[in-house]
Amino acid sequence: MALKINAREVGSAAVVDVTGEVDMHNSPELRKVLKRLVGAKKPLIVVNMSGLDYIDSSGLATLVECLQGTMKNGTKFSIFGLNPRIKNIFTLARLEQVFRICESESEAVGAAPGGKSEG
Amino acid sequence: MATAPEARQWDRNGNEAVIEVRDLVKIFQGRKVLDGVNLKVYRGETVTIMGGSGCGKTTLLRCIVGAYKPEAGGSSLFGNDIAKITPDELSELRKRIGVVFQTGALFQSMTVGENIALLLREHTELDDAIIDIIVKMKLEMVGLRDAYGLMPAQLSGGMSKRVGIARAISLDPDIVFYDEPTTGLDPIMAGVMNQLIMGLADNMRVTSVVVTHDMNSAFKVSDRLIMLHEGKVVADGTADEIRLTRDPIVRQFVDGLPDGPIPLRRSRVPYIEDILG
Repeated sequence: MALKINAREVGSAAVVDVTGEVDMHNSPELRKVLKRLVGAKKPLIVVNMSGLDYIDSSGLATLVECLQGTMKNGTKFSIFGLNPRIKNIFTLARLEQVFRICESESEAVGAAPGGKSEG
Repeated sequence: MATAPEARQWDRNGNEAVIEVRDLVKIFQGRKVLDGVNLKVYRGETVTIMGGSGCGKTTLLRCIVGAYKPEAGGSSLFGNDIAKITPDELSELRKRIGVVFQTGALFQSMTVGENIALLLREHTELDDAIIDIIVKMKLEMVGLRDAYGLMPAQLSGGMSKRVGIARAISLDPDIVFYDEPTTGLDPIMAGVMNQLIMGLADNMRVTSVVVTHDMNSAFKVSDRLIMLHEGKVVADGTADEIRLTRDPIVRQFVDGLPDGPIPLRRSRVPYIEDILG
């Protein structure tokens, strides 16, 4: 299934909806979008993975790189909407301890300054 | 228990056969190491090939990936007949498979990190920063992140094998061939390897072919076990079917019995003839 990426604003947060499959061929597309948001120093970047069927190592690495960027900027990064299989892929790569993984968009966006709660 | 694969291209769950071996014969120095082997492996399956030392397990693996040319018969990967494709097509196909060699087979002049990054640099357009993160993830998966900057000469045998596994899965292959993945590892690390093989199969859609003597590992990770004896497939069944079989050849191997139909692999020349001249 082809990769679809849609970036939108929710308050001060940038929410990136990722749908389909992320692999070695198309992960640079996701990287481009995330790098742009990191460069813009958005206070919170959230990746919505609820439409994601598969993510390979390059996709995971792209998310790690984005997290590194937000940490350097002093901003925040969260992900949400992981189905059980995607969650297992994170666990296999031992990344569940690295990311702030939220159950819902409202929980993830709540970490933005001025949001419902500080994460 | 089936003793020969059925003439079907899909398993009962609709998964296609991604590996097919047909009437494969391989001869070394006049000895038929493989003698008409037939088997199929379906997408997402973990299949263990077992058998005594020298029974042709590793040779079979090498024939499947096109490293050895068989005397008769052949093999297909993802429906492509290995004997009929061009070297470029074979090279393209090999990007979709990972091979874990018995020894690790690392490049001695490169660091561990460089060894794992090699295939990613050769076969993808990924940025160095992304490749570096992938390398660290793969090392973490085999419990060796601290070895990132070490040279292969600084590693133990077990560590080299684990780095070899990290390298084999660097491109997220569709099929991984493991040649003795747990041999030489301590029980805890063998458990980590078993978990990794199962995790890749369950979550990353990986089809696995495991060549091993380690029956604990075989029963733990396998959907199906195939036994080779004297160059032929003598058993092909699920872990339960193999565990409960009354076939004397399989029983002797599974139970590790010194006496039985499988002869001890000593010299082919009778002892008395040899020692008395």
